Amino acid sequence: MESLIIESTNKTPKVFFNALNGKMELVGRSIPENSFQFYEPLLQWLDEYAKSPQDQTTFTFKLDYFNTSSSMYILGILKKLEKMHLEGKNVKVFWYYDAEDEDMLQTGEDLRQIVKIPIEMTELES
Amino acid sequence: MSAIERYYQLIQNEKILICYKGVIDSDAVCYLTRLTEKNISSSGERLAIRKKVINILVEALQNVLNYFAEESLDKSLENESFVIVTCTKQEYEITTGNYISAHRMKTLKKRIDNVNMMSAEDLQKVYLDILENPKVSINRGAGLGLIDMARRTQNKINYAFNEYDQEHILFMMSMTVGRVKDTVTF
Repeated sequence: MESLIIESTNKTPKVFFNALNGKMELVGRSIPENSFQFYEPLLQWLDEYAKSPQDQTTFTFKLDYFNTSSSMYILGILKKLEKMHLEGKNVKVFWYYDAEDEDMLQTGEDLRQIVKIPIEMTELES
Repeated sequence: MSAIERYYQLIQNEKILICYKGVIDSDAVCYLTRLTEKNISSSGERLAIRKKVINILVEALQNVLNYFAEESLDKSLENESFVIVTCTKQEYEITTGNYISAHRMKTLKKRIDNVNMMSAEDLQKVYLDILENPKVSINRGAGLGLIDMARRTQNKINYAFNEYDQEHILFMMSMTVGRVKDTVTF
């Protein structure tokens, strides 16, 4: 399976999904008007990856901002990871936030309430 | 007083950080967001506040954009959309305005009134409910965007409707973000 790499734009984050070592990253801002168009290929890739994942899957969120339509797809990604986790696969999720950014911390906490998967809140070093 | 002086005084007195009138399309959302962010950053504002303002601004601008994507009004009316961000010692204020079809007013007013009546705890609960099940938003009478903006602002969402003609109404909405640390709550 091929890795999925998409460079960041003014409105979309950098996507670095490595199929070979199971490390995935979403970095930057996510404020597209059409979140479906951007996130659907990511969700499809995760479905494909989940069929034969690596021994360890690590997903890192390092987001500056995201709009509400992105938040639904971010939850969609977490649900896919949750499914893998509940199937007994090793999945780790890291949610990075700036020490000053209480909203981003809160959002991570919110998502942690919804999905049954350990999410490690990690403070970004400034 | 010359026009230049009048404009300068207006900008100074009203503490205008950014002001734009025209079509709010995808590019405009991008430019306006970046410019506002740059202006706020260069004043040395705290990151948490800057992010709150930008988050609200993006949602508010995309609300306008989505509205025109759903409902095609006369192009000249779309050109009348505007956004103003002001910054006083106490707070930032984000104001948007756009024309809407008159028949939309009732629902919109009800939605904002609903959100304004909710406590912070209610907003948090409804936000999580809608996030988990987007269809809930229909029953709750407000979309996630409005709920999210209400969570981030410390005050109620202000709004006004100005009748333009029988079919069109100018809808204006404004939200504030406090700058004083102790008043900042999610």
